[in-house]
Amino acid sequence: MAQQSSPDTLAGPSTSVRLTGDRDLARRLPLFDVCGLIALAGLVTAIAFRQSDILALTTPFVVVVAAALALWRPVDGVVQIRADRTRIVEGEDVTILVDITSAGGIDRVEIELEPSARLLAVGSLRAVTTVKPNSTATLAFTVRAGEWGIARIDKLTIRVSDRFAMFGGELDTRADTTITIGLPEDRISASLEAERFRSIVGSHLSNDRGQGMEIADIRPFQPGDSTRNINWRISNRRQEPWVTLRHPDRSTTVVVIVDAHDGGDDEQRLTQRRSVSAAMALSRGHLALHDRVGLLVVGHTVQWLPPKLGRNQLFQIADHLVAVSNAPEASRRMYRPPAVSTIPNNAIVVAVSPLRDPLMVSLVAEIRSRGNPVSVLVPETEQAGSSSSRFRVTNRTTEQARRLAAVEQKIGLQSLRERGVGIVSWEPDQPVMTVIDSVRQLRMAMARGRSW
Amino acid sequence: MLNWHIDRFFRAGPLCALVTLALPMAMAALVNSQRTEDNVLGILLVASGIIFIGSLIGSTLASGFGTILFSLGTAVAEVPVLLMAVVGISLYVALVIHDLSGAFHRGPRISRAIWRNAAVTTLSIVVASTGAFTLAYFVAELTTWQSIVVPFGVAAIGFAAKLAADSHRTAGRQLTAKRPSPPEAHNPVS
Repeated sequence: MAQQSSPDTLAGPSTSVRLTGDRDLARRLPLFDVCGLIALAGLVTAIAFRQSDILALTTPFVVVVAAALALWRPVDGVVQIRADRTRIVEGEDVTILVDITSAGGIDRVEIELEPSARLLAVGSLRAVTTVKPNSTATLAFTVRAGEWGIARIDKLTIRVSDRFAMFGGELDTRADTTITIGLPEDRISASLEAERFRSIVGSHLSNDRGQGMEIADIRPFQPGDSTRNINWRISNRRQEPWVTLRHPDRSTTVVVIVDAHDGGDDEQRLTQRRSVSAAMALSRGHLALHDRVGLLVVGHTVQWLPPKLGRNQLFQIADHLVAVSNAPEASRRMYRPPAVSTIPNNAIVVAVSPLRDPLMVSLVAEIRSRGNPVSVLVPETEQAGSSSSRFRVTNRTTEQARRLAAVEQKIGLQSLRERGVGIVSWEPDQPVMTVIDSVRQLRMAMARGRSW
Repeated sequence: MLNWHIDRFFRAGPLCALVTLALPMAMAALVNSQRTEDNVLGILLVASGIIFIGSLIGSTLASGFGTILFSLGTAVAEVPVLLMAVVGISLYVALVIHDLSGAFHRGPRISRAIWRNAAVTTLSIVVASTGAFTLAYFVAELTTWQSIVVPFGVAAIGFAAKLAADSHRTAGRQLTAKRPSPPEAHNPVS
């Protein structure tokens, strides 16, 4: 409920809306018209017909209209909206805080939030309160993260009025504060493990020597530290020896490719969600093993994250993957991004794609032709004859298009297999570990066949 | 359609809406008991219904129309002046409650200060209007003053209305006046 609070106890990006000087908040409200009409009619009637009794009926309306006009003053204030956290996972609650500050006070202010579809209201998202002069009223609203992606408050409606409800108005604005909703940790980590996935891409331990290049931290020199690690610039500045700590060098470089195809219907959104989960889990696992991990998102949006080590890289990858859900509708597909040429030749490439688009197939084939070991994880969707889609209304053209797409997909898969790309089919509700094991056995069989 | 009506009923604040029905109906019964003219009760009940419907659908104009109709019915009934004053105050209170019922849309959380402000404001208006009416009625009942008060009263009403409107317009203009833009930063390139 409305409460007086200190200026800022929870940090976070915020959006401010200035109420001072807004003409929309200084309009006449219907109650003024009604009361004014009754007052005027009563006075005219009482005077014209010399019926002073009529005044008894209309005096309250005369008084309230006069008081509203006399005591009216412009609305003065600032509304600030912020979230207590900007990064949450599905199912978590986030508190949206709305601070209303006014030098002159606001007799009645209503705040109403309209969040995007990914945020679900917990309780009412509308509150009415007053703001005392030179104070701040804080309203707290709770929303729950419904679906992964980038969410925001689509509309913030502010309604103000004076104490007589005679003057006031309404103001709609959009809050710039965005909330990143990630996939739950346990669900991702349970679905894939990088160590197991290594088996399908073979041994990829790096032959490089050295202590690594990636700077992890700096600290004062301690006995046992190598003098080669002394950071001379910082040591000179601090007048004591400091050393640079580095990440141990990578075992390999992994590039994860995510096919960000259109998430228009439910089936595509489900596939997209699984693709992102798998990509996230792969990235997390390989980063934990000190692999350099890069990310290439292709489809109607192209994002390239060069391979790097460390926790920050995981956050970067998570941000890029979450942004996949909010990509605009496909206007121009770019399956040949410039980043393809920057993928290191010795990098292991793992693509997560349903391979429905021939352009994606050709991209994977191109990367394979450059000599990179490539594996493709194909999240399958439910078949047309399954129980959930049995009652789906389809016409003949749609069915034929679906069959044509399936044939195209099969041709693409066959061509990739012939080029030596490992294809892992991922059925719905099937643990990916089982799939990876079967692919490993398949690869071993293929290797034996080649040795004969 | 039924769902829409039920939803609307709850969103409009059923308690407030019922009060805006009960209060005018009680006044209608009171006026009917003191009336000197026939067929007044029907007008008052219809007016009460209109006020109630206005509260349900969140229309101040509908409730206002009901209030005007109720006032007309009360004036026609020629009831004692004290009862008229009570009716006038009740109608104003009904409109205030109607306005508050609008604040119940979609079940918001309402600060206690809102209720306190509304109560204090309404009470102040009731007290002020009672005093004003007592004074006006006393003056109006003085026969010798009537010929003076009427023309001056008309002029005073018009003058007060004009002053208030001018004041509001001036404040509104000051509020929305275009502020001078800050001086542009020095740009060595241009």
